[in-house]
Amino acid sequence: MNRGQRTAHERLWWVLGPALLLAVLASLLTRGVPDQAPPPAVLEEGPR
Amino acid sequence: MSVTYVPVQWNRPKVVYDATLLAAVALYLWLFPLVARGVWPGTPQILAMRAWGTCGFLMITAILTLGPLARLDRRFLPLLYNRRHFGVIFFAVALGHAKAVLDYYHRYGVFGDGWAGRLASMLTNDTAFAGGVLPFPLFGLVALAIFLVMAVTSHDFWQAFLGPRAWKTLHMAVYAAYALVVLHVAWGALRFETHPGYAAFVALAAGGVAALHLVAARRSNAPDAAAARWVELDGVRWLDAGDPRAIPPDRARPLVVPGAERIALVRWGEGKVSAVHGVCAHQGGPLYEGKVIDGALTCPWHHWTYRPGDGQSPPPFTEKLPTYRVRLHLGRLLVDPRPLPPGTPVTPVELAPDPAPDAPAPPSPSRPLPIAGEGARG
Repeated sequence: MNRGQRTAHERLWWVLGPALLLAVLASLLTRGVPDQAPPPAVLEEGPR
Repeated sequence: MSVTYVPVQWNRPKVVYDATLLAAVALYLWLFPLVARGVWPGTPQILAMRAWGTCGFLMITAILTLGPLARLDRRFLPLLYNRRHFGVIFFAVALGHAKAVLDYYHRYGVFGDGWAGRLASMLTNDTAFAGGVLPFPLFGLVALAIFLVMAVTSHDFWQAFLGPRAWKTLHMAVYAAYALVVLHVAWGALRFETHPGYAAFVALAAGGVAALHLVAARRSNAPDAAAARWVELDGVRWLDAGDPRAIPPDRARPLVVPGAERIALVRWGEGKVSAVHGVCAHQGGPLYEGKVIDGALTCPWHHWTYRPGDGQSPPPFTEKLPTYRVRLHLGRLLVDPRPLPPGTPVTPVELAPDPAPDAPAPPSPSRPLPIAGEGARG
């Protein structure tokens, strides 16, 4: 493996590793958060 | 390397490798619904979808650990040699997962039950995209597209057609695809299955793959930390490569050159030691970790071969490596780190035969090793 490949590979994993773990953590922390508010029409309609 | 076209060069290790993998996949897909039935009260279709999906995640994680594991322990090398077969089988499993998803959730969408209709349904379906903050099906689909390109171009034909370096660059996209797979799982399954064990497993898999790569990189880069020792002789600055007998017979060792690529020191033949460029002409593999097979230095990655005496691949192959002048001085191997043109023959250092085990000990342990051969400069 040449020098460029070796250093690029190591740098890549220093970034990718924490990024993947952060992604999993972010998913867990935002679990249950609704994506969007219900459409206004539904709110205004009220019980039938 | 091959000069004739053979669709797949089957040999016994490849057959055993593929048969073992296929049997393991079949066993997993068969056992998964039986075990999971008690955990997830889903329909058989959902269980099948999860069986293919978890099998694929385990496979791609395993594939990514093979590279660093082989660098950390040579016993993993046989698994690395046929990694492309592993990758293609993994792609088939990932495709099985995608098919199960499209069959179950998108068969009866408004776009019809053709494959284009199912795909359109997946890409526009509110339920699928509302499962998380991020559109997790899209991550899986893009990852699958990358794996498709990789699987299709995994054959030697494509390696030759694209050129080794372009091919390798293309296949480095596996890291991006793996990141997408982790996102796909984190924003998909992990948001529906809230048991902390699942999240811990995914984090362990992704963290483990990253940690293994970093540990292997640290090990691989370790020789660079050693300070180079120079010896000036006859107006030439030589790099001191240490005791040449420390190189095991028919093996190579790295010599770190400040500011340049490593040199492969090769012990071959009857006590000959030569120096060639340490980077394989094929995909930049570490020739300094190779061994001598049938008189040729063989790259540990894909078995490309070079003659240690002149850096040329044996006929009919035409690859050439730069070579370096070597000489023996007071029992130390010295290397002139200025590369000679690729394929230049150099005179190897010749070590005196090792003393027989029952031979009397030398009179003085500090006595320099006999100089049985001179360097290229004479």
